[in-house]
Amino acid sequence: MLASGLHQLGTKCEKINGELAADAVPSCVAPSGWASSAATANMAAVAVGKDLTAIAGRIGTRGAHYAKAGTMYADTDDGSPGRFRGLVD
Amino acid sequence: MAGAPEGWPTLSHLVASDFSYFGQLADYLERISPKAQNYLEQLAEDVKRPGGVEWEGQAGDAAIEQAGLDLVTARPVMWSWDDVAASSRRWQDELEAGKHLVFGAVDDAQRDGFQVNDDYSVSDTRTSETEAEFKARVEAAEAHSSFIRYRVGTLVGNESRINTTLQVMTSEWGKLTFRSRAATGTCTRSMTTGNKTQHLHRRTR
Repeated sequence: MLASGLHQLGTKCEKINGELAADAVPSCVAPSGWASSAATANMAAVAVGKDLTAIAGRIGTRGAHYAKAGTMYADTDDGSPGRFRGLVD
Repeated sequence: MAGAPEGWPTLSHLVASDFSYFGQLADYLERISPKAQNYLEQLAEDVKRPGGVEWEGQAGDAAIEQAGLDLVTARPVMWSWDDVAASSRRWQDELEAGKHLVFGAVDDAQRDGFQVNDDYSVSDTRTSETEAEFKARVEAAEAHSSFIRYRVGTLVGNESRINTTLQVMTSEWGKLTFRSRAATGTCTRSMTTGNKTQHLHRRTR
């Protein structure tokens, strides 16, 4: 069933979103010192966290759309695909 | 001999130096990069057949295309994580090796009976009996100090080069954004909009 499959996919996306978002807080905090690369490495780790947050958020949003599409498919008889395009654009 | 140049670490700072932050950064990147890549690749495949049933029609086409575009958008960023992780391992090794070379030069001076000061100048711990011996000890002190400073200078120069390289390699990090299909103006096939059929081409990245 496509509807239940979309719900499953939505749930999977939600889990992935949570997992990646939890990883988006870098554990490496560079010590301060004479080496300027320490501060750069620290900033890089923070920036990676931002990008990972963006990826997690994107997957989470997609998951919500898939789940919504699944609900709409289940609620309609004909499953007119034109109704669902907005969900995935 | 003059003190250490500005911006150089003192000997005690160098002793306390720890370049493990590169290893920590590499650990982090090596942990998250394959995970994020695998998930995005997996989802780009899963969306084709949610629950094992092919998702046909325009909604399915759009979802499949969008999942693929998300992967294409994020991939260069994630690949750059891999590059920096590999480089970070090398940089840590290189800087640790440079630090040990300095310590080696310091050990040589100490074995010769000189005390190495915090600014890499050296002081003789022995008393010379003759003028000639004194002159030789002064020359030896200058030679040791110069060699130690040469190695510190090399280390500082390498650290600076590595820092610049890291800045360049990570300059685009933290800016990842995903755009909708409408915003990117992309489509892999004909899309029917009202009564018109538009043929849009995949955007070249």
